[in-house]
Amino acid sequence: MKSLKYILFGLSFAALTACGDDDNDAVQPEPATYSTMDQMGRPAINTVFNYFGDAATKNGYNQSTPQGGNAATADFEFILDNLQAYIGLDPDTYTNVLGLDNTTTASVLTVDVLMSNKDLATTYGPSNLNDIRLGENVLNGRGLSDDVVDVTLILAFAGDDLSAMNATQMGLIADNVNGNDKSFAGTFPYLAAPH
Amino acid sequence: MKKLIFAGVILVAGATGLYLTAADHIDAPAVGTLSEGSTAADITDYYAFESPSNADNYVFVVNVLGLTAPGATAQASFDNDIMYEFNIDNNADNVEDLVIQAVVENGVLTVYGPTAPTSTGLQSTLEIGASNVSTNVTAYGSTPSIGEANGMTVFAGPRDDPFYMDFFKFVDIVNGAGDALGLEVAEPANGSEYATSFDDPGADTFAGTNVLSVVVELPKSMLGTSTTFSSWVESKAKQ
Repeated sequence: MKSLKYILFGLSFAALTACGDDDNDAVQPEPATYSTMDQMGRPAINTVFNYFGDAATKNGYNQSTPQGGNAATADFEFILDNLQAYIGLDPDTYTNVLGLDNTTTASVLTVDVLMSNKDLATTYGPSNLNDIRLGENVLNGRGLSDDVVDVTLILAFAGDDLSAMNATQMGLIADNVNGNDKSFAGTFPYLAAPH
Repeated sequence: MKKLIFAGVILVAGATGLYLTAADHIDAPAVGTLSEGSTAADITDYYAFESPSNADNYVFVVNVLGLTAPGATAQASFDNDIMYEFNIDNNADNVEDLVIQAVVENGVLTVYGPTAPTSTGLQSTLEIGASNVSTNVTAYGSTPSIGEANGMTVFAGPRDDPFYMDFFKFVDIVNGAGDALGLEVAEPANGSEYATSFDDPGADTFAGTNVLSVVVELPKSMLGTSTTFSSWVESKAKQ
């Protein structure tokens, strides 16, 4: 059933050539070509880091590839810096729970891919903040139930010492929506039936 | 619920000229806007994870057509001219070494690959010579139609949107930062001042809404020999 039109095309072509040219080798139809309309690696990147962007900025981001980065590091760092400054943090000295300053965080996030380690269980966020191994138990794939919003907020606002957060930071590191409105299945295709 | 969400969304968008950009829902003006609606090219979310039912397998999910109301889900459809391409980079150069390509034509999903692509980057060729598997798109309300062949297990059809977030509170908080920067943003949601913290409990903006999903499961061994890999998904339009 796949490629029905290719099969039909191929049959009609074969019929034509069968009449006219017995020496004809098998001729393949020209495969279709496609051009990028939208792209995504990590969750919420375009949402957060192009929040103030216009349509051209968003489209430009969506029609980019990760090779060399999907966006300019300075643009993402600008957003991080200003969100932190807005809540009274010092972006020049800020480091997140991964130990990354804003420049480094921005350089990681502008390459919009999900990193995966096939040997380890999938998790987007750290289950233990005292044991952080980037690409292993942090930012290793993305599962259906991973609370990616909270992970993103923690990286942006929590600093590197969760015991030292002020009240403003504590109000911003979780959106307090802790799970999906439907349970996921343990069997393929895993996502819940539609509402 | 849908009316409430869209009323809120339009309020935000109308006041600011911004597009709804939760997770990545309707963040792509070229393929989905609040005024024009989302399209089958408009990616809402991407997931890549070890199979919950078989640790030797990996699963890739792309969701499109975000914020589809239950009453509109039966009519929601894929597009014959849109391909979904899962890109897999095995050597950390951020260029795809393998692709898995999914197309839906006339209600039938066909998934090709994984295979080394003829071309990398923004332009792709449908790899019709690669091994593949097909199944019917699952209709709204029907038991999932699952295709299994050549190592791959595949599904396409409507699902509950697995994404969850208090999007409107996020918007109000970030608008406050934008206002402080002197940018054009919406007025505070409560009419007086912007929120500076999330509510507890928060309100899940995506509760009760659906997406169209393409799900592909395959052995990890088909994803190259490297222990680590990077991946991303694209929607691509036939030229």
